[in-house]
Amino acid sequence: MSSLQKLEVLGASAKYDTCASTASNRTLRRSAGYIGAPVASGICHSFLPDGRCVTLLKVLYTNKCIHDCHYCFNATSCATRQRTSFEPEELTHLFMNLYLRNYVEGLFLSSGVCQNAERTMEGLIEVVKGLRMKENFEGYIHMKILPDAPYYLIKEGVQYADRVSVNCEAPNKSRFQELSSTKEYKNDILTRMAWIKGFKKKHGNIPAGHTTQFVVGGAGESDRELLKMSVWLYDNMLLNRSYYSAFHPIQNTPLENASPTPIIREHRLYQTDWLYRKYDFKFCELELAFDDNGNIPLAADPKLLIANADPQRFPVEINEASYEDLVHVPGIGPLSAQRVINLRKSKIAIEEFEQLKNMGVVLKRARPYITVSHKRQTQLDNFLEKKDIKVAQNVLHEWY
Amino acid sequence: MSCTNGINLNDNSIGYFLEMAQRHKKSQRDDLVCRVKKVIERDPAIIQNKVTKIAHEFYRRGKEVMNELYRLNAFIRFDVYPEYLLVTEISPEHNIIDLMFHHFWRRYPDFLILFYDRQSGYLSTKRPDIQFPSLKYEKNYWVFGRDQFNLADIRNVIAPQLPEMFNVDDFTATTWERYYDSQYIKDRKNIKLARKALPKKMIRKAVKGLAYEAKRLDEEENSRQKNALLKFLQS
Repeated sequence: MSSLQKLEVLGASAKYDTCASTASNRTLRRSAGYIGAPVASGICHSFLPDGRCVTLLKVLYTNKCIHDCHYCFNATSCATRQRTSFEPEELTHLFMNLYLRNYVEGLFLSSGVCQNAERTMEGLIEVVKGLRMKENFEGYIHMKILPDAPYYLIKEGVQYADRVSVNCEAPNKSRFQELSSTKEYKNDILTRMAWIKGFKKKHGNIPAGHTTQFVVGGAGESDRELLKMSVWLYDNMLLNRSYYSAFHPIQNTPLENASPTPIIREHRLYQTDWLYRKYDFKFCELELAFDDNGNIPLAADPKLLIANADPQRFPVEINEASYEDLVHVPGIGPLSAQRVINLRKSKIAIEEFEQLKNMGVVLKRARPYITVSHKRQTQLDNFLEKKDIKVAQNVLHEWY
Repeated sequence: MSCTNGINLNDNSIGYFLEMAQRHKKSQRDDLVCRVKKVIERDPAIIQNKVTKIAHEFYRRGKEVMNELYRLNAFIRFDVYPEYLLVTEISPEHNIIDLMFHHFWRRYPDFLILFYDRQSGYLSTKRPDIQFPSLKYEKNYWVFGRDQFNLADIRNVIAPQLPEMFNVDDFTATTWERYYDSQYIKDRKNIKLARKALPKKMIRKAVKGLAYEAKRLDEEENSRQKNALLKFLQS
């Protein structure tokens, strides 16, 4: 198989892996003849017709795999896949050619487990080591840590990668067993995460931190289970980010007849996850967004649900509320909340709703929950869409 | 979920926004930036926290320039030549060429970067051993009219100054095209979101950089319209 064919097969095999961020604050070694540099805010180099960005060269080292994950089209049970592997130098050359021409921002290297985790991890490390040491590549590298990978290889890998990740796939042991019979949740996944946490904490390795990914809806788990696990990982494993990937049945896999997860569910999970990570909501507050089955209703924004379930908190007076109260208002994010606080420190009072709009507040959502100079704007159009306002105006016109 | 990768939403320093807003094409024609500077002298918090309409417009201009800079840095594709030369055509709307050089110097420190548009060429490098005494130097690059110099001339000037040539591998755009297609998940098709991320205006600015992406988006959009029509006719 030619390099191009391998790129096509192993690229397609990695397309369900998620790795949106490429931000890394690693300082450059600036060795002679180096090429590449990580960027503190990441860069998207292209976008696919499905709307996802292409940032990294996202490939598998090999798609040969001994595991039988029921959702995965690289699983050993999926007989129709073409099986192949890259030679380390072959992949290095392909990548450097794309990087030099500005097609990609870095490398995302994952792999199936061929023969055993140790041997495959050695291959992955050979690729990233080759890039760093032979090609003097200083750009971004995201490397997957395979389940059951040995300690000494993870320790070596984190020296070269900007970010590493171990995929949880499911929120707990029992759900995990429904997805795979060859992997062990605690030992293969959580123990590896704990080691990574140790490398991050003690040695200051892994500048872009470590992440994980969940298959949403693959094992019938609820949103509460997923978010509870994510929150536990953020708090106890110093995880930087959880990714959620909506399950989609793939032909010739054991779950081929299962129904797909709506993509909006993935979006709602990201919104709620964001509330915990960026808005400093507590998990007990996130609980307010769940329905009786532990899922976030797909039709509503979780922040709005939380606000409506906690009416005592509102309305908040813009010129007096704390930062914490402000970020709880739908339509006010951390940036606009900070602007309001900064303005208050400069002893400038906000007197009009229009000022808030200029500052980035989404008034349509925020109005019912705030007062400005103790005045509350409760007009009909606060609660109606533009088209509805026209209808209402026409009705009033007919009446009078 | 739209991707905000690279757009630093927290960079709120007025100085940075002033620098960016000044580079906006409209700022060459009106006095918005001067008016903003006067307000900043009196009360910086008004501008910093976007309280007034002028402040809002000022930030909007700054963001437009930042957006163009970020997207062009991402979307252009280089042709590589053995003279350590990376070449591409661009068509920016605002005055950002020197900022683009800053980005690519860091990324390709041993290379020379050549941008060209319809009228001019802009050449820059961090290498101290390469000089172009016959060209005009502005900001951080040499500039020349395209009728004055062509690519072959530039290569001829660089080659004798280099201790060794760069070994260019065989590479065709097909590699990227095949990889790009391999990443597409048809079940998640969302042309509207893709168009939002790759607006036609930006495709024009990156000239050839997004040619394949533009072609694929058009194909997918046409097939969507065709399917919708068939569905309608069948119903």
